[in-house]
Amino acid sequence: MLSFKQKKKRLLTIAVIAVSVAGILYFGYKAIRDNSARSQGNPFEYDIEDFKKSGAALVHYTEVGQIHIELRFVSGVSVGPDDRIYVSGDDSLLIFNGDGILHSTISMVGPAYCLFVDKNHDLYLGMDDHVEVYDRRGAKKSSWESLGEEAIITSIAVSENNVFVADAGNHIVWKLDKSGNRLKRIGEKDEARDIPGFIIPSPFFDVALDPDGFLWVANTGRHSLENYTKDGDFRTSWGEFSMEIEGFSGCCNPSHFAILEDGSFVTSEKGLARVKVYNRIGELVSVVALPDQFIEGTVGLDLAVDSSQRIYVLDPRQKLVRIFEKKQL
Amino acid sequence: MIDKTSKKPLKRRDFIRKSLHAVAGLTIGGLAGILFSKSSSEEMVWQLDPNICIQCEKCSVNCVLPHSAVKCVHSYSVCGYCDLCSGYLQPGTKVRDTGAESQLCPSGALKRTYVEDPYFEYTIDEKLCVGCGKCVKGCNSFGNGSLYLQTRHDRCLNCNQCSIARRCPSQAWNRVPASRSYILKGDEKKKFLKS
Repeated sequence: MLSFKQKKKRLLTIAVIAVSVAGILYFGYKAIRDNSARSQGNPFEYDIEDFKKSGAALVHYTEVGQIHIELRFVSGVSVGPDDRIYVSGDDSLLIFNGDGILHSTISMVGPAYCLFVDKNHDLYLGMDDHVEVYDRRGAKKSSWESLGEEAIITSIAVSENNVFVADAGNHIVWKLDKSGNRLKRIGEKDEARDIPGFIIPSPFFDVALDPDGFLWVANTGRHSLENYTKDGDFRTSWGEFSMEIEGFSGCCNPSHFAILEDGSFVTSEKGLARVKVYNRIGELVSVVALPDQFIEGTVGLDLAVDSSQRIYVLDPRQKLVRIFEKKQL
Repeated sequence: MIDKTSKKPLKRRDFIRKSLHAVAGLTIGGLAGILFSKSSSEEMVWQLDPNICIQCEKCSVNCVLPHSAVKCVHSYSVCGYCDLCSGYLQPGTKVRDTGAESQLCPSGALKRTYVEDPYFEYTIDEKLCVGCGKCVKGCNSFGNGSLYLQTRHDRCLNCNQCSIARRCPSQAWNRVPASRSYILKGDEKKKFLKS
């Protein structure tokens, strides 16, 4: 018969062995599980995460405001000469004052995919294949004839006497007078005139006029911004493909751009949704927003600039106009 | 005296005529029933909705077939024919050539052919395609989304419970009528729906 002391010793031994076995089983299982979890990583996965972080040190802008757009579909933003903000979408045009308060709404037949407000406060709206002009009170002044069955109007720029219309369907920029009469087709491939031709793989094709009155066009398939005289002569271009922050990524970027008063460029991209500022010779100087500030899959970041050089970014995914201002360094 | 309540005995000729009427009625009714039941329960097949698909690569490994019935398909009317195709080339590639190290497709199933400067046509070699959707992800991220995944019904066994559908994290799989067995994009969609 075992004494109490012996029984106690035996129980203790059994307990130590049981704890040891349980420990070995637990840590063994954990090690196997961790290893299998590691081995499930897919080295062939499509991965662009590193490119999303590129340029973080160059973020010189901060978001100072947001305007919520109560529409189902938003397509374009423009800032007028009095710094009013115009947003198109659905079958309407919303006009906000500088503080982001809704001032008025203009109803239209069909959505305007792009818009421009000129110095006289006239609104030029790109309605799929034709342009419509409204006055500042929202009264329709004219509806111009269609630019053709293939026409897809994606951007408008207006000078003193002319209207420049980017047509992604025909891969050209139309030069029109202010009555809508066609004057010239700009950008058609012409080797004799050193015009490379526009490569537009998707319906993103932007135009703008610089402070000197020259026309800039986003040749998205070539990842460049091209400069033309008002008569359509090719002057220069800049831009290169790169997934890194210095260049334009993907198949067709920059999707949109705007020009600041010093002639530098604000650009936006799809794929890697990012907004950047380049100087007038095409050198990257600042980053306005990086992909982590947008919902994945955001495309169509239309841009506008006000008289204070604040940058307005249309975020169609979140139905916002996002306002960015340069940080005081 | 004549018993007016008694029935006339059924003649053999009448019996045969009534029997034939009954058989004809039953035949017509039966055929109509069969036709109706066939039209109301058309065969259903599995298909992947490309508008919901998140290209998680699970289609390539969860099919019961040794080589998945899910393949990449291409809408030529949607494609931009880009030189720098994000479905064909590795992200961040410095060169735009057909070198294996430049290609995104792990099995080299996506082929490109020069058309004219700077356009290229992209085609899929289904024998090589494993249905991983890596090219689809690249195309959707930067391009027009012309590359997308579909179950090819010349391969699919149409299992009662599709093992890919069971594991699909985005629930992109549906039963669709066999006569409309593909969920296509672009002009291909229009042609398919017209046919």
